Amino acid sequence: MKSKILKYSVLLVLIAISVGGIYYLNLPNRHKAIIKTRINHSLGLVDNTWNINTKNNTLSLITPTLVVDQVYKSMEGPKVMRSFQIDSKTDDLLWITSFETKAISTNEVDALSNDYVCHTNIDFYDGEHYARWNLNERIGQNYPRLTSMSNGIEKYKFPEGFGFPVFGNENLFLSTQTLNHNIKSDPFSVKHEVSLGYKPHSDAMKPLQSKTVFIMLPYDADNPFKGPTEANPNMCLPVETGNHSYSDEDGESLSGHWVVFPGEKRYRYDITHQLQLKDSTTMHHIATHVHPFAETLSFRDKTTDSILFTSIAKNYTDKIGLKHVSSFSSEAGIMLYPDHNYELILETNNTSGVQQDMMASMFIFLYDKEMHKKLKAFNSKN
Amino acid sequence: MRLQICLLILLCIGCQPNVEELPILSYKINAKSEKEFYRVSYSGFTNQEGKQMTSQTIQNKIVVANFFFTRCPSICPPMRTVLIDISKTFINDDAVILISHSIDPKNDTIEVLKQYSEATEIPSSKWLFLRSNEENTKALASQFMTNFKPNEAGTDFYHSSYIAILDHNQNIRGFYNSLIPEEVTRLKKDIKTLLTCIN
Repeated sequence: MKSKILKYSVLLVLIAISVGGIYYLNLPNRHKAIIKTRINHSLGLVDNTWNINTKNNTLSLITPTLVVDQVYKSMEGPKVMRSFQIDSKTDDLLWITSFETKAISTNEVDALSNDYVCHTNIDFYDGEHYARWNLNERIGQNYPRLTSMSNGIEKYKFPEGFGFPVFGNENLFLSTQTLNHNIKSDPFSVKHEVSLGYKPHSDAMKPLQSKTVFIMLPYDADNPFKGPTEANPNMCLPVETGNHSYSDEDGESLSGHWVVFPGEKRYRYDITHQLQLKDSTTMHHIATHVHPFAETLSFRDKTTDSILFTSIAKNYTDKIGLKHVSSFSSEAGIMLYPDHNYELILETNNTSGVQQDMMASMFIFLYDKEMHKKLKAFNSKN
Repeated sequence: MRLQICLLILLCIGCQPNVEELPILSYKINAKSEKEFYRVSYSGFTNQEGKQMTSQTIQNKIVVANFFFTRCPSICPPMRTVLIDISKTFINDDAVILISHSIDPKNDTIEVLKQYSEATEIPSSKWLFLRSNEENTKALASQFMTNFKPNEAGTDFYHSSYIAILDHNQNIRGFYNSLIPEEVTRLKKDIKTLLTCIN
């Protein structure tokens, strides 16, 4: 009787391992990376701690170790996330003015190639941020992304005199993901160091509000992986439908993460509804996020038929990756109007000969007139 | 006076040193542009048993709070799973209670909330489901530094996936995105830290 129980138990374990193994092998790379990273960190197989320090008005967050064991395209690599505060011990008003992300060695000193940085996102909690200033109607209006840095645009600062106001103990959220387009050798480990520069409060500072505009392309929800056909040449082939999928007001499915085929291509998308401008205002900073094989991303005023800014992406010629993506920064700014229509225009040139994936976003920073009024009153009292 | 000082010292000794790393987040910039701290208070809410909920109910409790509606097709089901897990983790800590506030009082009647509560298999004394009119619920959401609004089709509401925790003095001490496992781990750790102040 006992040997039968043992036999069936062993059999059940073997079946469970086989089913689990088959399930794991069929997972996409990004899900495998999540599982592997969780195992590595929860079992302590690699350093699973965060090293957070503040020095000279810069908050530095060094991630746990991330193991890169294969080629990881954009959005696939091991990633970590955590919430943080600039200074939990104070509710003083501070101004975030600069951002930087970089890949470093596990000794937390030596710099590595930023080819291992896919993206680093900084979010704020819009409930806490806006409710504190009694701007409740803003909560939930936009995804509360403060900014994103990515391969090719790993460092930037706002123009002089501008910043994003937060209280020291306000909750922010960091998510950073690795990338490896090229190295196929043995596994290696990296860390990311993310730095936020900030300034103490000063009456002279002007607040910026961040908004994300990005290209979305239609796909057939019933046949999502069919891609563009002769009958439907405007359809895109989404990379997946679980993430970065949206519906427009007509119920049409759209993807913000799609496949680009070999050759040159131009994409356009109207972003007027993403901007949600209530009043005219000035745009002071743009950080662009694109994937390798993007060449330019332009912000165009459709109403006046003028290109307001073109971000140029320089690709490496000897490997896959972005050498540099240009950003926009201006104290004077560019006027945007609520009665104008705007669009993004993306030009790509996939020279790899095989399919690649693409995203195209601009993190734009607008002068926040409404917040400035609140701050002026706050300044006179504090 | 001496007794008060002794009690204060005892309280300080009892709390874990890292309690101070959980700042009081319940403050707003008021109409006079001054920072104004407040304590979360209840008025006009009824629980799934049909009983009135008052601020007295949460005195000396660590409260885990969220906003939801029972017909929610999107973020509420995973939030519910997380809250069941939190309830089970702290099932023997009477000082920890969970409160879910319905943002859809039209459909979430007391009977509906009672059924929803029973389906969680968590005692109603541990996890309260509350309803009130829209005005009261909006005002309470504002105290918890969030809001909600129906979508254009009226089929869903925008509402946050964040959970807030209150300390035993009804101060907000943390916000956590319930859909991110690392945040739920942090939430549980912070509840344990706050518990040291009342155990």
